[in-house]
Amino acid sequence: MSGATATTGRPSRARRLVKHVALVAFGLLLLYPLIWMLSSSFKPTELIFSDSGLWPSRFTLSNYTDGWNALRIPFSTFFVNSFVVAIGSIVGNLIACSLAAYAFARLNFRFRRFWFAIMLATIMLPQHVVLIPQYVLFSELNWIDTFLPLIVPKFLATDAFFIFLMVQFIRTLPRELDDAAKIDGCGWWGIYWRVILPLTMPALATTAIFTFIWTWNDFLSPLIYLSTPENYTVPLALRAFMDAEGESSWGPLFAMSILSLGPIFGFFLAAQKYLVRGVATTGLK
Amino acid sequence: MSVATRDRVESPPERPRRAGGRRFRISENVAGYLFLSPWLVGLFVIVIGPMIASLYLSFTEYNPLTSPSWIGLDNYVRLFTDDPRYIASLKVTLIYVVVSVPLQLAFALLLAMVLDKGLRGLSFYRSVYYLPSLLGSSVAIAILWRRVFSGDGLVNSFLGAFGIEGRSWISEPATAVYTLVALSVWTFGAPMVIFLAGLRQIPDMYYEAASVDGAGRVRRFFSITVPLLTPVIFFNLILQMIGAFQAFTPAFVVSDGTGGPVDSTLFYTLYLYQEGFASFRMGYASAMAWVLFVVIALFTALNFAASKYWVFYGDER
Amino acid sequence: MTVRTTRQRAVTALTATMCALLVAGLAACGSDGDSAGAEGGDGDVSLRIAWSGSDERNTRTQDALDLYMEQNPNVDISVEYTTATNFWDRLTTQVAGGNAPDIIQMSGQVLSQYATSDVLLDLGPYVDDGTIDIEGWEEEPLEAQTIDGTLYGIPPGLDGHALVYDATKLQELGIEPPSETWTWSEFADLAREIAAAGGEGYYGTEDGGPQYEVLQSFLNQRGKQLFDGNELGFEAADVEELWQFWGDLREDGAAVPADLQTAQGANPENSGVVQGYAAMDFTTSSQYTNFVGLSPGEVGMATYPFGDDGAPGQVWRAGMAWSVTRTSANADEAAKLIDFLVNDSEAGALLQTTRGVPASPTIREEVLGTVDETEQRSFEHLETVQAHDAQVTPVLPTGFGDFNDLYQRLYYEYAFGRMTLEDAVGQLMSEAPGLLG
Repeated sequence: MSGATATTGRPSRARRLVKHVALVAFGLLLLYPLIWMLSSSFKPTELIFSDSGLWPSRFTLSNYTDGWNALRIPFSTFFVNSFVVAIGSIVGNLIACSLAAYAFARLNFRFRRFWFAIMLATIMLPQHVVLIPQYVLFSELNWIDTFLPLIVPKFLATDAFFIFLMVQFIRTLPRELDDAAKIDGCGWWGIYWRVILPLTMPALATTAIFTFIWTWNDFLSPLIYLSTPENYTVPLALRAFMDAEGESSWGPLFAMSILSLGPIFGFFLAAQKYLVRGVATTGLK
Repeated sequence: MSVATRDRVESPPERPRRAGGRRFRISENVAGYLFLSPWLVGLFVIVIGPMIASLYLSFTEYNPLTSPSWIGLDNYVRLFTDDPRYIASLKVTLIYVVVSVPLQLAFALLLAMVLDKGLRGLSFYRSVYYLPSLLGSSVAIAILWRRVFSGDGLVNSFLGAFGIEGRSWISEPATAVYTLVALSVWTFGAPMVIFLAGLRQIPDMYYEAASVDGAGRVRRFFSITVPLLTPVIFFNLILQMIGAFQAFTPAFVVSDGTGGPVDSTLFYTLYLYQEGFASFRMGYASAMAWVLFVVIALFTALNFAASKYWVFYGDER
Repeated sequence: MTVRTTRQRAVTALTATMCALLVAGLAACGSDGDSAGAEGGDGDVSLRIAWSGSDERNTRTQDALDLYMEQNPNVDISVEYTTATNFWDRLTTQVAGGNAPDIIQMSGQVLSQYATSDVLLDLGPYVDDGTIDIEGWEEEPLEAQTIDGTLYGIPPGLDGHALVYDATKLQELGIEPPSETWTWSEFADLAREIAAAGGEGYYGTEDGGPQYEVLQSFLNQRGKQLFDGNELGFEAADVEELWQFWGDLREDGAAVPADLQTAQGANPENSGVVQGYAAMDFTTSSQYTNFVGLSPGEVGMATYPFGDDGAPGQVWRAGMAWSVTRTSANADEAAKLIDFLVNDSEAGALLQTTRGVPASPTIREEVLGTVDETEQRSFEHLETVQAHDAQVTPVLPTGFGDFNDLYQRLYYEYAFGRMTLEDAVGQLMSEAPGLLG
């Protein structure tokens, strides 16, 4: 690999082995709840809470087949809905947040500190008390029961968290880079597009990963804005397996929970290689 | 913030090339607002309106099924003079913030260092170690966390192997909140990824220079990694703090919405939610939200003030 | 209707003004989009119906609604279901936003709140003109949906308070299951006997202390009520006696300790009977099939214990009801749909017992013939309860949810030994009245 380790030499074989063993052992400990869930998803419902062993004493796939079709709408619909919302949100966040972050981190405009403080302030109010006014707003726009209330705000950089994240990352970059680009004839846009964006790949990847995960797992906004089951996202559908008044279908819930982890896990696995492409690999010296 | 003190007058007068000159005709001020425009539109159309509405509602008695009626400062007065549950929820939340944020950050930084580079298969380990965070807000966590922290759960089986008799951590009022701290530490993935990304942002040239100077691992960690990572550490600190103050889902899911046993996990926003939605006192809930807003703003401002002394930005000259 | 409009506009106007002020010219903000309830073309009706429930209830209800749409091609129904925990959050938001569904599955716990907030429509006229047929129905469940003479809901189903027990375990231990008319003393003896025979870590019963249903039966046996209108129907001494009873059982190891109880929560899957650490639990007959489904062994169902003087104090309920919102543009059609859901034979066959034993006696009879043995037990149980001079849970006052939270919280303060019995009950008696009404 690069720099740091290369110069000190690779750790010895024994050390590497010890490290692997430690990582695996610790990983198993961390994943115990998940492993339990995985094992439970293969158990018949009546055994989930009475058979505490990790290896199912009776093995069944019915939780998966039942769960997939339990809600009359096949689970694939919910996956598609979740994907639409997640992808839309990622695109929106990447564009809108990086634009704003560039302005905050690099451009000297009037009232910048004021706007920066406002931006942070918008993160600080608990979501629950703006739910109703926001619902009213989107209801006036006739956007209820569509994906618009979930996606459009991202194109307007309402996830200020990511602006802040990118500001922090851009500010770790030396300003000499901007100056060099200016000398090469880049304008504001050129600096943003050719210098800042490529060099903040890790932050963009982080933004994409988090946006995917958070919109994939988000429950409250879809609950409020999506009312008909055809439009449900995965977490809404998952809760349909649980009911305080009636029978909770834990088996299918666990099975579908496992399946719903698939896309985010896959996305994470795929996106994290961009985490690696920072300054370290773009040849900046 | 040190940004404002920086000397920024040099850019317009110097025009090394004609092309550059033409492109910089848009002043930095206008450019700033242009880049900011999507966010500004969002702010004024979607964000500010509801925020002001909730501020107004905090001065009213508002059952969301009916219309609000103005009661002035009554909600705020009641919060601090006549609501022991509110004070209790404030305490629980403070404990949670103070204990969980440093623990989670330390844990995340440690794992980010371990999983950064130098071993085959690290990208796989990273993904696996991230898995708990994917599950953190799932409904299934309610059951899973009981498997770990109830009387016959994993933790006690483990302690039992050493002859220590544990108790039902999750259902004892004295310990329940710490199981949620554990949940927060367990979902260390988000700050870990941000740390990892931050580590990647550190140019290799610094390490190379340090190696040439003969600096060892520990030296390099403290003299290069930590200083250059401070903007990211700072970011994580601010965000995790805000997140911990607003923590809702873990307590909601684990305690089945009650904040029990006997209010020992009644987080601030959980109580706020109960008041607003279950008890139909949205005005009171709004007042709670704005008090929390002020508390978080104060803590954040304090952190920004302190950051001058320990956060170093690469763009400072 | 005027009340309704001003109310929903309060927040609408506020937000709209905010954004109109800030972004002059955004077309949508100026528009008056208040018309709730979608209206189609000539004769076409669209209805929105919302309920909470499990996946089986969701599926069966949709089947019934499909049938209705087949029979009434001009009606288009869109469904909105989610779990009980989150159902009310969405509904509250929708009502506040002036966008409530036409038909709501109301819960007895919040009926007063919604009715007194002018959200629900008076269904009396539809009963009077025969749109909704309640001929031959028991009167009490309907009274339980009536506030100040106004009928706000039509209950689809009924159930009764019930005690479930681990029949397999009792057989193993060689202990006789409870009789139909057993008493609290017999219950306590049985719990102690089971705990003694069951060994370390096995308890006779879950703790009934935090459940208001247990208090309700206990009070009925003393000729009292939970509530007298908007006031408490009981005194400190009543609660003290009941909590002391449970305290003694816990001390003897016959009832589960507080930390075990709070580790679980109220759902069947968390019950000691299912998880195998306690032999008895307090629930309702509509949950019986869930207990059976989740348990590896046999589960029995018995009545709540009688008073020691033989007073039955049994309770049955119509825990939910179909209500129509005042904002509904198609209230007449909504009422017709409700009648279909509760009275139509084919609908009954599809819906079965997903909302309890059918409230209509005719449908009840028909459905009874088609369900399996486990389901039949819940029909039988309702009859058993009714046979013992039982009471129907009356309309619960506004603020009941707050009362229930307080009741549970203080019981656990006592159970965990953080408050004395007297202090906990004292606080209940001083704080509870302020929450009601």
